[in-house]
Amino acid sequence: MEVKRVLLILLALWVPASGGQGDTPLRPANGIYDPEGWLDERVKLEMEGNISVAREKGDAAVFVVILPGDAGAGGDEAALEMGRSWGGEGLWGLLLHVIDDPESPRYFGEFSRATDWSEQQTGDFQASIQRALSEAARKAKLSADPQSQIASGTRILSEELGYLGLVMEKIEHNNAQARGDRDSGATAGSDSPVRPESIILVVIGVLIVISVFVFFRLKNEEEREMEYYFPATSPRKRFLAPWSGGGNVLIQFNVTNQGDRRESERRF
Amino acid sequence: MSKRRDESERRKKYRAGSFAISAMTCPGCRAIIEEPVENCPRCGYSGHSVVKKFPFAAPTIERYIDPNGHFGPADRELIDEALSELATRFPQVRFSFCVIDLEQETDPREFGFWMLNASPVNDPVEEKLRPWTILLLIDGANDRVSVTSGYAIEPFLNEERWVALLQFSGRLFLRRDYGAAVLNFVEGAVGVLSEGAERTERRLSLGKSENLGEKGRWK
Repeated sequence: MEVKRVLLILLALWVPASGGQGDTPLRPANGIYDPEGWLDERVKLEMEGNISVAREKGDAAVFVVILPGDAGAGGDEAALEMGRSWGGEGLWGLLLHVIDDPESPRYFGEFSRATDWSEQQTGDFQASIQRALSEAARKAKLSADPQSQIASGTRILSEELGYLGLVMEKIEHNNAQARGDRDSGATAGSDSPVRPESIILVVIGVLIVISVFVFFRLKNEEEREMEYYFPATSPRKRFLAPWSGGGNVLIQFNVTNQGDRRESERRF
Repeated sequence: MSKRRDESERRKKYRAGSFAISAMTCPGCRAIIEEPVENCPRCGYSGHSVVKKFPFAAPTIERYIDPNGHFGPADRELIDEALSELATRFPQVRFSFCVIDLEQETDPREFGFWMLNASPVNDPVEEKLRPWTILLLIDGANDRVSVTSGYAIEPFLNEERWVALLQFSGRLFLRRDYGAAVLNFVEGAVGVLSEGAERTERRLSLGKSENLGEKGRWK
């Protein structure tokens, strides 16, 4: 009796603890939840095709949920629950159609996986998801009837999210490469071999410096060698003159009488 | 051509006559003398004579003695540059260029003799430079030039070379383009001094090899 009571209490506690998970249906294999079979088979086939393309192209999960008209205000909340449950933290989008609801279909989507993206990258990606949802909603409304709207909405949502899936892949690839370069640079900094080109450039630079130095050194040597110092002599002092004995050079520049010829006369 | 000699070599003094190839002459009568004398054996000339002949203060020996402004700034710049170049080869030698109007009967050679000896020597620098001075005297009034050298540089100069050099610029002197003429002179002076240096080195080498000491006389 006691044991039975405890088990019941535990069961009562467990159900609330599991929250709404007990209410969320299992993930549909083809991504379409239409318990009442409202969708035409032709439309369903088309949507299945688009949903699978999104998954293959960009690993994006796209779901379509068709709820009965009495789902009420809790439909949006239920759609989010389903999307999060079926899509997990990966990229997912969900089209919710409440039968006979003039506001339907509505679009939901999320990407909540933890990444090492920058804040900028994360913000931009989230904004892109919202744009994809808006774009799908806008364009799908152009179709005439609800079935067509859902079909085209699913197609557009699949295309958009499929593309975003590729973008996400690209971001992660680039980040991984950047991380890899940093890592390889860090580990290779201390023991990586010096590149031969660097050695050659350094050697050439050193040779040039040495050549310039030697050139100027030799030039200075040459210039110093060009200096000449006459030897000191005991002067031929004469005529009581202290500094000079005079010179013998005298040139008289004359203009001759023969035309314009000028001659100089030297006296010595 | 040789370079600087070692210290011991440079301190040694040689007899000037060992190198000199130009004759010694009396500034008064131009008589050739064989040995340095205080008075000319022919006319009795001496330094006292020339001071009496020119009884006024001699100008300071400077690079340009040019009271009438014959050398313009451009001329001086070019000449200075040439002298700087020359000084890298022959640092001892100083040049002075004097342009003056002399009386017809005044011999520029005697005037140069007077200038180099009578000009005051008031500081150690001038005392060191004066014997190594080459004075080019230009008599503008009579189209004459003379060259007078100090005792220290005199033995190494071949005066024939000065003659050839100055005659080469005869037209410039006659045109009174003294700047260009002096520039030619300075540029040519390098050759004159170089020749003197080579001759000196040859004689020094001969002196060593033949152990002549102070033997040998040269005019």
